[in-house]
Formats: sequence, structure tokens, C-alpha cells
Amino acid sequence: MRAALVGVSVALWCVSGLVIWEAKRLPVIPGTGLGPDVVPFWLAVLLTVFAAVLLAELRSKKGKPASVVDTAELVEVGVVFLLIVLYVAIISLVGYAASTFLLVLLLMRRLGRYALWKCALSALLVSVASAFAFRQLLQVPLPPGLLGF
Amino acid sequence: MPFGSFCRYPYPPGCWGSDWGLSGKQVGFMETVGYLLHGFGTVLRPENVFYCFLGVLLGTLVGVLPGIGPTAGIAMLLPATTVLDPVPAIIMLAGIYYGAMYGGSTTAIVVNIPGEAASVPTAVDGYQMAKQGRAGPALAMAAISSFVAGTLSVIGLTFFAPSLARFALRFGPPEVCALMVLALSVVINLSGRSLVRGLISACLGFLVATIGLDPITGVARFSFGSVELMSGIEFISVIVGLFAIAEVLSNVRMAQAAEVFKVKLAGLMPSWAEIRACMGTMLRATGIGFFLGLIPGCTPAVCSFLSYDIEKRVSKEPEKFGRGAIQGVAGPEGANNATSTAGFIPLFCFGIPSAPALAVLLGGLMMYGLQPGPTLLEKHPQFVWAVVASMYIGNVMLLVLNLPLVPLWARVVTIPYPILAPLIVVFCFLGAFSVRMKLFDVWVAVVFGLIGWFMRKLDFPSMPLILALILGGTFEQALKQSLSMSHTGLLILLQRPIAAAFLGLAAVSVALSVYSRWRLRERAATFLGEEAD
Repeated sequence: MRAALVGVSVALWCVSGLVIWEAKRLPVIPGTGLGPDVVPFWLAVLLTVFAAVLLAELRSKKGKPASVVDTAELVEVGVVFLLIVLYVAIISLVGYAASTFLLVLLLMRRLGRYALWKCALSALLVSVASAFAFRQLLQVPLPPGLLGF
Repeated sequence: MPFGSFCRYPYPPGCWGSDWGLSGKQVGFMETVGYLLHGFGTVLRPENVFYCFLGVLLGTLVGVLPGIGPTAGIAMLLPATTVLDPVPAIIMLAGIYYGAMYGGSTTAIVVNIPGEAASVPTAVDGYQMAKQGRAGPALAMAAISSFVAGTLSVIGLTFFAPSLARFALRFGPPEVCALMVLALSVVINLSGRSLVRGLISACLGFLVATIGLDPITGVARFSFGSVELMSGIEFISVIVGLFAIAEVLSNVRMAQAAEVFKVKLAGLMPSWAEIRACMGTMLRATGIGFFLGLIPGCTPAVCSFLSYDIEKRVSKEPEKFGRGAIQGVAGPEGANNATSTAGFIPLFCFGIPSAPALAVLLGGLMMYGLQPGPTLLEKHPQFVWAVVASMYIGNVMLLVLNLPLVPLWARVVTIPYPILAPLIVVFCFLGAFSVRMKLFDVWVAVVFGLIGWFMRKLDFPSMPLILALILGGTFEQALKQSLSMSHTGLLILLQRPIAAAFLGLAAVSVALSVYSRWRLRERAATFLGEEAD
């Protein structure tokens, strides 16, 4: 876990570097007072300092994290996260109702190991009810996709 | 609907021409009571009672549905009210507003999805209570606290509006800037076990707030050529990601083991002892929410965060906060509702909306040909007092409507997590998408979901990130405006008494937080030493 926190510190330095680089490239318009770069620049500087303090805390063994990620958990979380990413990725292609049906079906099967018909019925209910409520009642233009629903 | 229909609600001759004391004439106590009684006379007509009920009912539903916050709710239903007269229309829209402010707490407590920023502090302890089988008391306490704070604020609105509004007029950019500093000082107290992690989280939130157009020059920052990034990051997406999606990811393993929420519901109402313990909390929350709610730019979110922080400070058991302290629910919910009510004062008196939802409501008023400002109060007291009176009735309706629903909402937490998790993901999508109808916002929520999961695993608190994201834009704008109007640079913040007072309070807040952290560490070291002996 120490490695993870070292990685976080390095990532924060990279983010700070990028922010400073981008902030310095922003145009300064004369007569407008504090430029658009000032606040992000100083925030990035602060972030760099705090990342260094985090590393220093690690050295003095003060910053021991409360929970640990093991490989099995990483895989489980990765699969669920991938399902969520796929859901958002295909939604504009296959439409809200169809992709929601697939997401609920797959997530319920994955997490609960329920019978397929139970998962399919729940998925159908959720997708139809939510599409009706948001599209018809609340007039939210949910993505229809190629299938049109 | 043209505004001429007001003559359906005439005032007796003596009452016309009220000015709430804003143009020099002071309005006496009995006169105010007289106006208020006339307001009740208008509101208690059956059709107005119906629209008030419809407003709070729709508002509660809008609040319960994640993402469809009060702003979107009012905006969606505004066109539907054009068939109504102005008084019932605005009564209904106002009902939607404060109904949604209450409804937002339900999903925050039950499934850890704060429907809006103001419900974030409620989610912290409310959700912990739900996990312990105490969703019922948490929901009921949210309803009771909302009712108490809402009603007290309407009383404040009725009797103190003129003088308080005059005080709020003294607020310029330096005062707003100093107020934001005070609000940001809360970060130290919200940082959990590691101060540096809390500060990193706040810096990241602030940086996210800088994405988009610069508030003064209009220069695009960190957009990397993307049109979506140019319009900034929608904070609802960040909240949905950090809280809801991260929650689903965190519970994946427990969901498979079917351990989550297999708890017995321990009572559905809070005990008298708990209500008594929360009375001080509710009064403090009302004070914070009401007085800060008068300040334009001070949103309900700021007040609920401040209230949570103050409750944690004054509590004899601060360590219980974050682990299911009922005061952690009562405080933010009360402050949230008090701010919503107080926000009507700058709206009616000066036409200044202090929250996005009130800006939409302002549009509604103008749609009916009503120009908010001192002239509104002078020319149409019957309208203003009818809306004020409707708030008394609306608050009672909210309590009557929501307390019986507590058992129903509380049961939601007993749904097995493998069934609940897909529903949460679907609602996350709907919540993030519905704000601007952009898939980009959903992607933002997904990315912040992963970031939120990592933050939980590595013990980084997410509250400072949310707070800095919400306040960052306002702080930067107020800072830049203050410096533009100053000849002495940042010293302007110390030269103006109200701003200096806020900065002083911020300094005291930081000092107290640092001291209490040090004391806690000392105590822990002593305890460990005794254990070793």
C-alpha cells in the first residue's frame, strides 16, 4: 500500500506540473486584474507541497491507510466498473432502455447470482418504468439510440 | 398569464401600499400580523391549498429522484403553470423548491446519493445510520428538523425581513470572499484522520472548479479544445460519482457475500431523548441557515456544510460524527431548509436569487409580469404575503406528507444489494444526464466514481473536494472583484468590518480545528501508553 501512496504523490506532482504548464500558457488580458492563471497556478503549487508532505508522512510511518486492496477485489471491482463503462459507451448506440436492460440483467447476475428469468424480469421492469417516468412524465430526452427506445 | 388577475385577491384599503419598511416607513408588529392573516385568507382558498399541496408533493418527488434537483424541477414545471393565476402558480413553484430541498435528503440517507450539494453532509451520517438499521429515525429527524427550521425561518421572514434585508445589502465582493474563506476553513474539520489528505482533496476540488471559462476574463482554462470542458464540470456529476458510484464499487464484494444491509430496522421514529438532544442542533441550524441565507451567493450547500461543522465542534462526542450521529442529520437538513426559506428575502426585496433554483423562480415571477424588488413589495403585498403564508402551510404539509412515508423509504435499505446496486447505477446515469442532457456529464460521474473508490481505499476524504468544488468558483470571482475594486490589494478584506469579522471567525475556526486535532492525537497517545502499561 505504501507503493500506492507513493504512486498517488507522483500522480499529484504530474497533475500539478500539467496545471502549472497550462496556466502559464493562458493569455493575460491587460486591465482585467488578477489573470486567469493565478488561482490555478497557486493551487498547483500547494498541491505539489501537500504531495511532498504525504511522502514525508509515509517515511515517518504516519500515513498508514485504513484499508487495503487485494487482487481479488481489484478484479471484482474492475468487472463491475467495466460493466458501467460499457453501459455508458453503448447507450447512445443501442438506446437508454435496451442498455439499461442489459446493465441491470448483467449486474444482478454478477452480484446476486439470481435465476436468469428473475434478472430479466427485473431488468425489463426497471428499464421500462424509468424510461417512461423520465421520457414521458419528466420530458428528459434520454438517448433513443439506433433501436429508437 | 398577465398580472391583472391579482385583483382576484384584493386587500382591504388600509393594507394597500405596504412597503415592509424599505422606503422609510416602518411596519409595526400588528400591521405585519394583519398582512399575514390576509395572506392566509388568500392561501386557504381550496384551489390555493391544492396547488400548495401539489407543489410540495411534486417537490418531494423531484428531490427523491437523484439529479432532478429543485432547479431542474422548477424549470421543467414552469411552463405547465402558465395556465394558472400568478398566486397559485408561484405558491406551487415555491412548494416545489422547499419540497425538493427536503426530498433530497431521502436518497442521501437511504442509498447515499445526495440529490444535490446541500444533501452531501446529510449523507455522511444519515447513510451510516441507515446501514445500522436506523434509516427510519434518520429520515424522521430530517423531516422534523426541516419542519422546525423551515417554520422558524418563515417566522423570521415575516417579522425581520426588512431590517435583515437592509443588512444583507452591505455585502459586496470582499464580504462574499471573506465568507467563502470562512466556509473553506471547514475543510480542516472535514479532513478525517489525515489533515494533508483533506487538504489535497480540497486542492483537487478547487482545481476542478477552475475548469471552464474564467469568471472575469472569459478565457477558457484547462478545456484542451473540448467544448464540454469549456462549460465546466457539473458538480452534480462529481457528487454522483464520488458518493453513489464509488459506493457501488466499494460494496461489490460485500454484495456478493450478501452481507450489506442485512440489518434489522431498529425503530422507525427517533426517541424523545434523541429529539431533545437535537433541539439545540435545530435551533443553531436555523440561525446559521437563516442569516447566511440572506446573503446572495450563500447557497444552501454552504450552510449545510457549516452547520455540520459547527455541530461536530459543539458535540460532546465529535468522534461519533461520520459514524451515524443523528445531529449530523438534523443540523445540515435544518440549515438547508432555513436557507431555502431565507433566500426568498433577497429575491423579493432586491430581485437577487441566492440559489440557482431561485433564479429560475425569478424567471417565473418575471414571466407573470412581476418585477422583484422594493416595488414588488410596495405594489403587490397581497402576492408576497400570500406566498409567505403558503410557506407556513407548506411546511406543515411536508411534515404530514413525509412522516407517514418514513417506513416506506426505510424499507428501501433492506432490499438486497445485488438488486439495489443496478438501480443505483441507473439512477446515477439519470441524475448526471438530466442536469444538462449531456452524456459527457455521465462520463464525468463514471470517472469520479473510480476516483472516489480509490480515495476511499487510500483514506482520502471526499467532503473537502466537494466543498472546494462548490465554493471554488464563487471564491475566485469574489476575490478577483475585490482586488479590482481595491487600491490596497488583499488588505481590503481587513478594511471592511464585516469581511474582517468573517476572516477573524475563519482564523478562530482554523485554530480551534488544529487544536482539537492535536488534543485528539495527545489523548490517543496517552490511551495507547496506558494500554501498553
